[in-house]
Amino acid sequence: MGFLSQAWVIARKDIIGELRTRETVLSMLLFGFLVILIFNFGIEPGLREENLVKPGVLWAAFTFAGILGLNRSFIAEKENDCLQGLLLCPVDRSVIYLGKFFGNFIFTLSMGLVVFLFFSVLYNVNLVQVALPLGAILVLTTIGFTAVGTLFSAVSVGLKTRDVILSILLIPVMVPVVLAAAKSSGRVLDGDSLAGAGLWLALLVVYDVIFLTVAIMLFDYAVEE
Amino acid sequence: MTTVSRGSSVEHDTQAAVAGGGSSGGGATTATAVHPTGAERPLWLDVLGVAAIASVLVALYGAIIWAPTEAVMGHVQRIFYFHMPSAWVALGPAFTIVFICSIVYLVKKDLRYDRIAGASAELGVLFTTITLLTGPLWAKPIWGAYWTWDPRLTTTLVLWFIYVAYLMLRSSITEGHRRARLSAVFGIVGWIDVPIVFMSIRWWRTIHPTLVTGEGMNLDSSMQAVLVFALGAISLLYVYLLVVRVRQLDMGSRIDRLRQQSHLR
Amino acid sequence: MNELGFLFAGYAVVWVALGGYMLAVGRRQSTLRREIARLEQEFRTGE
Repeated sequence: MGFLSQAWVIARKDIIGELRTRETVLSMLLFGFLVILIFNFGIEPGLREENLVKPGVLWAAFTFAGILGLNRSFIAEKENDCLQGLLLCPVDRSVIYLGKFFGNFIFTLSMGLVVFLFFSVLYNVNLVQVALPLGAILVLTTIGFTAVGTLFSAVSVGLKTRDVILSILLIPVMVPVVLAAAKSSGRVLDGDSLAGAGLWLALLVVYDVIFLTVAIMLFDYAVEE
Repeated sequence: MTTVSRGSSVEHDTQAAVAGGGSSGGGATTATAVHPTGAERPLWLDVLGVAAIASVLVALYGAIIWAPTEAVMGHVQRIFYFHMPSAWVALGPAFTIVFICSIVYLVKKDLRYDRIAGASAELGVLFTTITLLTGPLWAKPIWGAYWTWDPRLTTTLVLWFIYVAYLMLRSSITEGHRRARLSAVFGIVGWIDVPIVFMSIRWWRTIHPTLVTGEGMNLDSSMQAVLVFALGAISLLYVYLLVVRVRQLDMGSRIDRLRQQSHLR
Repeated sequence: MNELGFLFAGYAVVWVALGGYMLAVGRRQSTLRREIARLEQEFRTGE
């Protein structure tokens, strides 16, 4: 079996588990909606600078809901010592990382898509016009977010304070990603083309490549027993 | 018989723990030869400490009395002589040492490197805190605001959060090698993130024009001399505190070992 | 606050932070010393 198909087996396991219980994505979604809802009370409707605030709300919801999902990523593995079994698999540790990363990527991406829909309805955004550029931004952001998030989730899963510590570890490291996502999507929502946000997209791509590589290299140390 | 031999090896350990750096060599194995206070610190460390503190005091004199008053900003500018060196020590050597020692630990699995990383992160957070507190106190009378989302300020703040998170991660794990491993992973990721954070925040601020920049300060040669001296003094203080703290952590881990042995008896 | 007030506050922050850290390190050192003395005592009486 090839490298990627091995990783896909692990991701598939997570996805099947998720389809049966629907726990993670549903709770992420609900949480994302709630963040948008609560932010809404802080923003004056019809505000002139609404376009500047909107992306902030969107990506804050994405970040918090995403962390909620990442938190659960390794908890299921920890129960019944599944992680031990996974680590005993005769595959490279980077395969396990990639598998978990694929799973988290798909969960976070589906959460992001639905949160986008919810957001566009509430804030009167015409999604058809901006679907493609916004989708590209979402994919790039989700890659960076879950690449580091999966690694940190493995770091924090064995700790007593894991829920709190994952947020504390992940949010400051996510600053460039969230900044780039908010700024580029702000441009797109303002009617700019994707090229107008080129610098930010380049930043996202660079971030994704660097941290995917670093995480693959470091994952072994994060789960070593 | 076994008890005796174990006892004497333990005593030797105690002595090593007291001696700290292991500079005492073989030494006597009798308990009476151990003096918990006094000569266990090597001379060079004391010399380093005296030099560090003396040079910080000289820098203080230079900053407050010797350096001329800045023409535009007035006396408040004198904070700069400690603000900038603190920022440099934290962002330069302190956090870089965390990164390097994290890598070395993961390669060699020697806990000593983990202790160096931990001590250096602690000092980095200390100096970043000083930077973040003195900056606004300097900015308020000059620019009229405590805080601006200037790239350097904002990056420093994000950095502070990253390394406070690093220290929190360390404090939530007790077991030595596990703590070293997990915090090394975070220490490496965090450090690689720093230049990306800086770039992103700089782009962010250039797209929206910056209200305030740190440029436009005229430093004459005597001011520059004080600044360079203060930079050296704070760096020396950092090195001294790092050595002291690492030795202390070494000592703590030896004591933990002894305590385990004492439970075994 | 006037200009000198800010200068004073700035330097106060520097010395409080550095002094506080050194004090904390010093206190930890004396705790370790006591612990060593206690262990020594324990080993000596144990023999």
